[in-house]
Amino acid sequence: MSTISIDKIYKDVLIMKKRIVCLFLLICFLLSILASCSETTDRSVRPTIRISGAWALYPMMVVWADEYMKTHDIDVEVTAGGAGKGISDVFSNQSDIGMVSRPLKQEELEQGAFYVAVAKDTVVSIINENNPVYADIMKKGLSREDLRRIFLGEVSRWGELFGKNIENDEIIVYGRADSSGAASVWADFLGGYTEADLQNNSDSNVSGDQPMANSVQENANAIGFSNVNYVFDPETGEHIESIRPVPIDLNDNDVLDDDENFYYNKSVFLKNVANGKYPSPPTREEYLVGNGPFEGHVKDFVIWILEDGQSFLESNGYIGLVENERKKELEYLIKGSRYTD
Amino acid sequence: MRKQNTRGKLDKAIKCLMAIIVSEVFIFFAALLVMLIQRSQLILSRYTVWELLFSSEWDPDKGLYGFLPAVTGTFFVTVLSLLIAIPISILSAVYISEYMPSAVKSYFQAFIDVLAGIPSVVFGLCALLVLMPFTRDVIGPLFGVKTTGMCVFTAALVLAAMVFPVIISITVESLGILPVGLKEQFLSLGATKWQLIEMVLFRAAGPGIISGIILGFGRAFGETMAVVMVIGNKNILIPSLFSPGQTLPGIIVGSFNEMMSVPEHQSALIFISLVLFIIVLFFNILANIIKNRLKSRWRYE
Amino acid sequence: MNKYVKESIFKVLMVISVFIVIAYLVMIVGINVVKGGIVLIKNPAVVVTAPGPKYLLGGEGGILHAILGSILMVVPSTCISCAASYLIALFLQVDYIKNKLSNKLRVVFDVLWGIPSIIYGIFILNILIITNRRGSLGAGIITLALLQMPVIVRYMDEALNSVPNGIRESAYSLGATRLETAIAATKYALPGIIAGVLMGMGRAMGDAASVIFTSGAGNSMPKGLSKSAASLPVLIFQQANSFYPSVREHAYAASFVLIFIVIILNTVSRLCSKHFQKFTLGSGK
Repeated sequence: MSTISIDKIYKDVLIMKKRIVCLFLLICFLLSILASCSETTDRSVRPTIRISGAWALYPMMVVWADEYMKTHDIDVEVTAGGAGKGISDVFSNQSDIGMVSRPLKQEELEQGAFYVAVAKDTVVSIINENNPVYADIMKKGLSREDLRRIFLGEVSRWGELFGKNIENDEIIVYGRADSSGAASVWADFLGGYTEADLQNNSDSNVSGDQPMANSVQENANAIGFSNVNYVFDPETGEHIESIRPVPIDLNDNDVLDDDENFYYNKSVFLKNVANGKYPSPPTREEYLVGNGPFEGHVKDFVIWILEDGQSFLESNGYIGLVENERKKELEYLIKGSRYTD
Repeated sequence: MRKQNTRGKLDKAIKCLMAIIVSEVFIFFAALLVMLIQRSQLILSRYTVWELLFSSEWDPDKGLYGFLPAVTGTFFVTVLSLLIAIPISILSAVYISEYMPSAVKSYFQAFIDVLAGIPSVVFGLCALLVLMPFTRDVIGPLFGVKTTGMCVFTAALVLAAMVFPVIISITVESLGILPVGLKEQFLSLGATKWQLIEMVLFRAAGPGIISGIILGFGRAFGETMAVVMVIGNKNILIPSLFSPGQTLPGIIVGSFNEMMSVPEHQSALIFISLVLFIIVLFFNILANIIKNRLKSRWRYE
Repeated sequence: MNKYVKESIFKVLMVISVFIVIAYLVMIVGINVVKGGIVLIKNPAVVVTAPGPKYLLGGEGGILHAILGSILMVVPSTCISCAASYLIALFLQVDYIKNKLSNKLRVVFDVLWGIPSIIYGIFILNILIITNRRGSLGAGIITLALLQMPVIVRYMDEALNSVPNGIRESAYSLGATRLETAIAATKYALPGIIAGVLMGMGRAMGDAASVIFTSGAGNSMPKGLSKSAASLPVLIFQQANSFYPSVREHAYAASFVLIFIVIILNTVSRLCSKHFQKFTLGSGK
């Protein structure tokens, strides 16, 4: 072993010190880059409105945000994740507005949630056009009782519904695993059930409207439920790929009467939702929720939604509020409370 | 010498800093435990631990928080994946360490390491694209069962892939420690290689293999993303092989978005993370104790 | 049963087992290369385009936000983790504390390595809830730093342990302090240390469970430490099962990029630890 002199060790230590200093400077440099990222946004002094929540209202909110940003100097960020996420984010100050597609729960109101209704939409049940009894369903419709039996697992074959004996007709029911407003109102419609009742009786639960639509798309025997946006094409109003809405036999007479047959086209369908022919629930109001009354930029944006924003609803497949309802919501919003003093 | 003093002081200062950082880590995990316990108080004040862990109704809207379906689901998926993984891993490990020429051996170990490093979501994506249709269209009809493909079986297949590298690498390591002399003595008596493996090596490397299996169990138990993507998320009590199920991490991922909206629900989820943490901690400590015992056992060689 | 027959049977079984393991690996890497590769070939710009406004509905945009988000989260967290882990690893060496204590600490870090990443995520989420903050890039960085620490500590510890005693002893015999000896020893352990850092980086890049809770769901470019950020694994998780084919394709492309980065990191890490070790141990300078 060759001799190691004290000089050598000191030299090594010096080199090491230099390297540590370099590394330190590099880290500072990186951090300053990050800081400058945030600085640029602050320097431009653009306030941001953060919105998150239900998949149901997401497409509409994106349009609203786009339109609003054209005429106002403000940033609006929209994400989705389910109605429950909307409320959670608002309470934990991760969002300024939560989109919620179901009535608020008691615990949520107790924590100080403030909401205004801004639109209406609905949930339909969806099946695949290659369903073994598709023709029968289109002719006769499914009554609320039929749907209840399907979604709660009391019927296991498509043939059973029509007294037929068919091969390979096991019903595959899909449910929602995440905090879904659609699931909540659909369960309510079927007979006052809860989301978990649907989850526990389905064949598989997925997270989100889109995987639900995907699953029904892939299985001829599948049935699920979804809000209107994933059933009709947003541009043409026609059906999307193999997904078809299930016509509901409202008067339970085993025949789809003429006035019950409005599922072939989006605008016809929405007209019938607006005039109340399609049941409510599952038709529901879409709410914007805040942690207490809205203020400042956020309040301005919501006021805009209830005034100019309403004109964008129909072309995007949503239903506007009836005029006196809209005025009332505007009043609540401006006052900051839903109680009339 | 002044320089001598500064060096000494610097040394002591750095030692202090190190001690602080190390104790920070401990404080961190103690704080974690305390926080999880404290935030579970809400749900524990309304239901007993027994009720939560052993009731089978899960319906937060009605205030029912039975975790038993998730617990049994986790158990089923983990055990099933180990049943698939253990024989395959051990056989592969034996082949790699005993039969393979050493040139090829290092390539294989590299492959195994790559498999170990692949992120969980990528496994999940592959399971969605390949394993799910496989279960639905090939395995299901084979057993005469109609399934959506999102089931316990698919989840077990994916988990097995994540457990392979753990068990294989530890087994190869344990087999490698064994002295060559031992093997040669046995072979010189006219035994076949497999007899050597069966009668001697397994017994000798036993503790190592067991600790590998336990570590594999720990990995399978805690694995979240890939399983959630394919298991179907249904709170069913005793899932059959081809029915969807639910796992403890799966409930957390599915519902964490909602954590703030209902305090009771939030408390229930935190309680379940506490349970998960304790179980995983327990298994890892056990595995490590066994592994260390193995190392000290072969010290004399 | 004849012992030779038994031998052959088991040999066949063993070959089949190895084949299955390799098949899994090929399937996973293969499907990513194929599906992701197709997307990237059709539209290579996807990697450098930011998402547009209607991104989740099949609108235009690419995955740049996730790539940038991942990098901005992993690099600082690795730096933080490195600094802390280096000090911890030095501390664990023979010089600072007795063997018994350091062995117990090593067990602790091994246990921490085995804890599933979702637990780290839940912990930071709890802190966020209590302090009423949003999920952000900063929180994601902290989570990943904590996640990587056991991995990096373990590697650094083993690297420093394998430094020949002679180096240390000669340094001490010349009156160097513990710190200076440690720094000298580090030079020899450097390949192993780098291997550990890269391995930690690989783990952090690929981890979704911890980040999904703490970094906020983002569909926009990362804007600052306190704003939310997207990352590659979270993007894959959220978009893999989307209804719109273009959104799904982005998930495939992201998966390809992710698996590519992780494999490179892991391979370089292993090359470091094996190749250079042969080189330094023999030099005896």
